[in-house]
Amino acid sequence: MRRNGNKSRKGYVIMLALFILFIFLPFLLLPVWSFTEHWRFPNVLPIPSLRTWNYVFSAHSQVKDAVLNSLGLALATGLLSQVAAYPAARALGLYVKRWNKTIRFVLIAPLLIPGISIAIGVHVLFLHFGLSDRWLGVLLSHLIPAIPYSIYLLYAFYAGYDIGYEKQVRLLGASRQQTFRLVELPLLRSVLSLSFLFSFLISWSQYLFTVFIGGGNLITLPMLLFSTLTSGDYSLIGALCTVFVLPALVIVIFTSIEVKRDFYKGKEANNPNV
Amino acid sequence: MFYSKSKSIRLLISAGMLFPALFIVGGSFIAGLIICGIQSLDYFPLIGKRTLSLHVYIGIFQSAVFYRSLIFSLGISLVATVLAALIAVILALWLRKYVSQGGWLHFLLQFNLPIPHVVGAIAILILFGQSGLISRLAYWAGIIQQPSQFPIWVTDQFGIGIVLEYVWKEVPFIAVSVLSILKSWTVPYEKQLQLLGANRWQRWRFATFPFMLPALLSSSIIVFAYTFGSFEVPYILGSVSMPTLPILAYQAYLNPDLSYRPEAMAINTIITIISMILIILYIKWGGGYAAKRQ
Repeated sequence: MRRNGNKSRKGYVIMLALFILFIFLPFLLLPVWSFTEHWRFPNVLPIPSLRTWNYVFSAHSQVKDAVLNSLGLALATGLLSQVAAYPAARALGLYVKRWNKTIRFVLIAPLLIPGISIAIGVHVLFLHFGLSDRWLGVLLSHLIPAIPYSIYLLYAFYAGYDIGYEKQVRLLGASRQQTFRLVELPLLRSVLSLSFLFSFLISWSQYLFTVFIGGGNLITLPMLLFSTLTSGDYSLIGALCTVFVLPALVIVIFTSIEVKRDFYKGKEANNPNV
Repeated sequence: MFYSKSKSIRLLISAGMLFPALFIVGGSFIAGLIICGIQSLDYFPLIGKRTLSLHVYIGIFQSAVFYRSLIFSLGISLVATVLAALIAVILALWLRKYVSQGGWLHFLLQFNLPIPHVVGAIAILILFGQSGLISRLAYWAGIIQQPSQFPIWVTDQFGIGIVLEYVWKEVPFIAVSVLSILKSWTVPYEKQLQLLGANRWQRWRFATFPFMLPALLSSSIIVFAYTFGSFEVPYILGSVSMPTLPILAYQAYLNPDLSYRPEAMAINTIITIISMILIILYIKWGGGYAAKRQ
């Protein structure tokens, strides 16, 4: 590398440019589309306009309702998923020895089984219990893929967690609340927030479960996106996609900050034995 | 959080901690799968069918449409996985040299991981469609005169658009997992080999490749399983006349004629069984890798 530093530098820049083009070009076009009046075939440059954004923010548009529905569902899913996953992950990581692998497999399986087979089965099940076509049913169905993800992340944390710290603090006279607040929570915080963000994102981008369980009564952002797709209004599609991608960007930025923090902790972070 | 000496109390508390997650996930998921399985055996009281029979499966295994879509689904997944794995390995090997120069490249690589597949599919539509950006550039370059002369890359018979989306989305995923191994595990071994006089090819053959193989394999199986069962991408980018297996199940399930229900359930069961086989492969090959890392 040193020998021909100049040459590899040039290669680096070219590769970086190609790489950025490969990763970003596809979805950078979407916000561009959203600011066009229309963009007919031979034109390489579009006619700019705020038409779609005016529509998105106007009082009569469905977009606002869809965003609010999606947001409410995703927030509830994110929170409830942590409430269910946190005790389960802790129990699996620290206390449960027998059947551990089997229980973990059952809890993580919905991540690996295709959404369509789960959605159809769960729809029939929820029809039996009168949960379909209702907000609660949709929320429960979103939890089915969200909880496994949270357990996957939190279990990895507890598998490497040293319960000795907690015992130490308890020995020194701390109460349960104090132990949780002063020992467990600070260590858990970054994993827990990551797990919240991912559950949020799973619910936010969920289409199949919402369509089947919601029966078309509950309009969320992905539902609107799919129905707009058939209309062929690419300016509106671009705007919806832009709104749709925003939470994902928050997650990327958050994880990169967390990774950096790990990086500065010192050499131990890179130790392969950890 | 509990240090009770009584075994039964400990058991009870553990069960209590596991219950909410198991009830919501395990309960609904397993019940759903069982319902699917039973209805696929033609048990459907709503339209007066109360006897179990295998004739839906026999019908499916004799229909050409089913085999066509099964092979199509498997083919798309295989091509997408192999292409993504190849590109990801090359990318990871190239990137590892520069990763030490700052987290910037790594940051970029992670950028499209959480982007929803739906958005990726729409992006591919806008780029590679017959009136997409590349088609326009071809027009200005004088290669084509009108959109219909541009080759059909999306909603095509061969699933080119679907494969493009999967490759675009999964290359960073595989690259990230391979890169994490290359960064931390292999370097000391490569240095050792170099000291002992091994050349480039030998270092690759004896250190780099064996070390990254488990990560590559397990992430590739995940990609294969995901792309095989994915619904949204073929729904947007696939051709109507060439459905993948999940699309076939979706169409049969939403058919207003209820007699198609058992067929939907049977296709669903088949998808689930194939995914289960993939998961077992993953546990066999990828599970050991995960255990080694801990």
